[in-house]
This record gives sequence, structure tokens and C-alpha cells, in this order.
Amino acid sequence: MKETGVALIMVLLVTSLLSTLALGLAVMVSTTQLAEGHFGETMAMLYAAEAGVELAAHDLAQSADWDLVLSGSESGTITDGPATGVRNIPAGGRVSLSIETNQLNCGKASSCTVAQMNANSRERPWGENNARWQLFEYGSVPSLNAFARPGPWYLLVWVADDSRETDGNPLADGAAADHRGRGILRVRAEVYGASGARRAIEAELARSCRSDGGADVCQPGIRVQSWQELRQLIP
Amino acid sequence: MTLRPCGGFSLVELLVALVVCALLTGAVAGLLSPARAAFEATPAALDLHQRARAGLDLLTTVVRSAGANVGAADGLGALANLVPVVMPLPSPEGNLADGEFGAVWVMSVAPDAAQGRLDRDQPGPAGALTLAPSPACPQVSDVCGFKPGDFVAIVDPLGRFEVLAIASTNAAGKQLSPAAALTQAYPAGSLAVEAEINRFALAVQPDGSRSLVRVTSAGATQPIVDGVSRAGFVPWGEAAAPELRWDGASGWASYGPSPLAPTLVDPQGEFPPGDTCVATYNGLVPRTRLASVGERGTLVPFARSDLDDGPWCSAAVDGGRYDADLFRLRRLDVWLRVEVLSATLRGPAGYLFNRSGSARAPIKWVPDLTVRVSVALRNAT
Repeated sequence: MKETGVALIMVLLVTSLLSTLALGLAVMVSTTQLAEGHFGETMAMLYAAEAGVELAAHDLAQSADWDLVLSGSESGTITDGPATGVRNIPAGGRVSLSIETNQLNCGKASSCTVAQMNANSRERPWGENNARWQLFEYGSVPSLNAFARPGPWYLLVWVADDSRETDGNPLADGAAADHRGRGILRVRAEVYGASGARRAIEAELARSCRSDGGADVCQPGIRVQSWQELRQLIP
Repeated sequence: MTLRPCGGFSLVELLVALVVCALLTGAVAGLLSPARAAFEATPAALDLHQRARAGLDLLTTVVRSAGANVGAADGLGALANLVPVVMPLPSPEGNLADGEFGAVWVMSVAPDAAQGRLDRDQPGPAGALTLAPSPACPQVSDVCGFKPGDFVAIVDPLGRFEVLAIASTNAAGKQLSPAAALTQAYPAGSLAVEAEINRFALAVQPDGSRSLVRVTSAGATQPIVDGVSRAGFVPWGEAAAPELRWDGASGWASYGPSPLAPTLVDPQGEFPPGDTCVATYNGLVPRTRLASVGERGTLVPFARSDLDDGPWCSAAVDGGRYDADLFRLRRLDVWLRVEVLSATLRGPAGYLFNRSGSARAPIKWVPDLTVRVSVALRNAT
């Protein structure tokens, strides 16, 4: 009986066993590396959203009339066309500016009616003073010079009137200089990444103004008086 | 029949073959053993990183957003200036250095949370809280968004606060009935806000390991990450005492509660008229009770002894009071030491392992992993 080749079979068996072990480990390590990479990327996306709030604060500090901002007549320095339509996310995928804005204003993808935006709910409990989110800054992060290490994401920053006001006009920042909520805006920054990754921050920005002969005299700069990450509240 | 010679092996050939086989088997076994050790240790090491990441991510997310402001706080100051929204607490085991804390208490408020201001003085500590109908009351069918079972942080202008559960609501009267008597009756103008309040700490498990847990307002203990052998929190705070001003009509503070009117009488009689736990009046000029320990704008680490020496503010937390220095907090350094769950991958207790295991060969060891992060408290400025 010829036994030539037994060694080959043994070697093949041992090699395949060791290869399986090594392959299993390699898959596990690469999966973890991928998970860590995604985690690191979403952390960077959070900081990009925070940078969006800072950019909005900078532009709002330059704005003389926040009513124009709330009505959508004035936008920030970072825009890439009309505040409607669909944009490509550099990392892959697309984001619809209109749908995202409508979702915030009435929870629907289609256009919102005034009645829908004024409807009370747990998420929007202020009736006719409910926030009317307006896109203020929006653009592909790699195209923005403001970022030192831009990632392949898309940034959206909305502004809206704060919930303190009772003037019934969410498109105006308080009726008078001494009106409750005058000089306070809400800002929401969201960053969209690959595979549906999103990070969002909502902040309240305030400027310190006093009435002088009916006109606002404001101190320079903007104060962030509230800051919150919206991890559980992203639709 | 003729027998033909059989081509068998001699005894020497067999012995040589056996020795060669034994050597080959030994060599293969020698290869397999480290491979098996690596196969056990690598997933455990990956799991270690994963748990460390998950624990830190949850803690940083909560601490970063702690004390977001609400509209109903208008006129009193930002929520983070009315109450300390992050409170480091000592470790129940007392095994940390003086500069470190073993647990942390965090108050979080969602945007557009249920909120309101008391319309009138609470009739007594067990009495119903009547909320003002406007302007800070959300217009929903519940009382300003509050429902039975919700947890509410109630805060008075002097910085006293406590957390209560709502037993029932009366929509017509805009009233909230607390599930249990409070420690004091709260005056008109006090802020009520739906808050999520959690204490993060380590809890010992039946097998002797520790888990990072979250203890909710309702008293539920929710596990977050297993196998956290140690955890520490180092608070950093503003070195300078707050600037205070009273212009005859309203007060202003660079941080902490704003000075009240010098003639305002504390209904609890704890402080002289106008005084709070942070401010005291010298004539019509408010003075801070807090000491400066450095230049304005610089952060210094706070040891447990710094946050346990007053001046004291009353609150129904942590023994009924809190140190006013907690208003200085601007940053929290968090570290977690995570260990592998299997004792067969842990070596003797010491520098590498907080808890000893059964592994003797270093090739099988997966040492504890310590991760650290600094979190700026975005709302405490």
C-alpha cells in the first residue's frame, strides 16, 4: 500500500485549520476596526454640527435684523443654491432640503400648511408660536473653507424663533425690544453622513440688547444659552 | 504455495517514524496553543474596547447636554445657573483619591419639555402645585405637558430644588399633585420642568464584578456596561468667584443664581432678606460667598474636600444640601477602567489587573483597559 501523500493531507488539514482561525480573527478585527471607524466618524460629525452652530452664531451676530432671518429673507454666508431640492452627500446618498425642513415644521415630507404647523403636539406644544424652521446655512462640508479637516458630509443649519414668545408670529423676533424672548433664536444643526448617519445639535442663541429710543442697541457677539445634542430626537 | 517476502518495516524504521510523528505533532500542537490563546484573547480585547467606548459615549452624551435651558426659566436665569446640573458624588467604596469622585448625578431636560411656573404659593409641602397658564406653559391637553408619573424638578429663585413624581393632574385647575410630600412649600414663581435625572455609578454584581449603572429618578437601576472595574470623575471649575450686580430692579451674576432684591424675604427663613446660598448683601451691594482660588477664566480641579465645605444650598438631594461651589463646574474628566469578563483571561491582581483571574501564562492575559475623556459642560457657562 502506497502511503505517499499522507503528509500532504496532514499539512493541508493543519493549514486549513490554522487558516480558518486566522481568517476568523481577521474578520473580527476588521469588523471592529470598521465599527471604531464609524464611531470616530460620528464623533467628528458631532463636532461638525457644533461647528455649524458656531458658523450660524457668527453670521447671526452680523445680522442687523433677525426678523429677516426668521422669515427666510436673509440666510447665512454658507449656502449652495436655493433652500429647496435634493443635494448629494459626499460620502454617498442624498438629502432633500425640503423634506427635512418639512419634517421639522409639521412632521411630514410634503409641504406644511399653516394649520399643520400651528397644531399642538408633545413635540410642538406652542400652538401659533410653534417654531417655523428656516434653512440658514447649508452646504457640502468639503466645499466649506471654514473646516480645517472637512469630512465627506452635508451640513444643514436651521433657525427658528424661541418658544418664549407669545406674539403669535414665529416669523418675527418679538414685537418690542423689551418683549419676552426678543433677541433669542433657536438653531438646529444637522450633519448627514454615509449610510444614513446623522448627528444633530440644538442650541439657543441670544444677544444682549437694550431699547434706545425704540431702536435696539445690541452688544457685540452672541451668547449660547442652551446646548443639547438630539440623539434620540432625530426622526 | 510459495510465501513471498513481505516488504514491511523494521523495528528501527518504526521507532524513527514514531519519533518523527511525535516531533511533528508537538510542533503543530505548539503552533495551535498560541493560536488558540490569540483566538480567545483577541475577541475579548475587542469586546473590552467596545464596552469602554459604549460607556464613555453614553456618559459624555449625557454630561455634555446636561441642564439645557427652557423658556420657563426666563426671568430666573438659565437652568444651569439655578441648580447644579452635574454633581460629582463620592464613591460608595471610598477607593479613590481625594481629587476623584466615583459617581455623578446629572439633570437633563429635553427641548420643549413640559414646563411651567407656579402661579401661587404651594399651600404646603404636600399641596398641589398650581401652574400659571402662560406664557411658559405648553399648550397641550395635559397640564403644561405634565402627565401622571412624570418626574419634575421644581426650583425656587434661591436655588432650592427637589425632584418629585406627579401622582395626578387637574387640567381645569392647572394643578399637579405630588406623589409624596416635598421638603418645603415652594413659592409662586418657582420653576417646574420635566427632567430626566440619573445617577451614574458602579454597582457590584453577584459574581464580584462591577457594572456601570444608571439609577433613575424612579429608583430603577439600569445596567449600561458590564465589567467596569473602576470609574472616576474629576470636576474642573471656574477659579474666580462670581461677579454679582444689583441695579435696583434686577440682579445679574456671571454664574450661579442672580442676586435677588435686597428686601426679598426667604419664606423658609434660612437666609436674611435678599441673601442666597451664593450671595449676601452689604447694604445694597451683593457680595459673593464663594472664594476665588485663581484668575478669572481659568479652570482648576476640584477635590472632594472643595465640594464638601460649603457654602451650602438646600436641596432634597445628597443629604438635603449641596455645595454652592458646584455652580463653578465647567468640565468633567471621566475615566473608566474596563476588564475582561472571563477569569481565564485575567492574570494576578496588580498593575495590569484590578481583579485577579486564573490565567498564569502572560500569552493569555488581556489587561484592563483605562480610557479617559474630558467633557465640557456646554450649558454651564
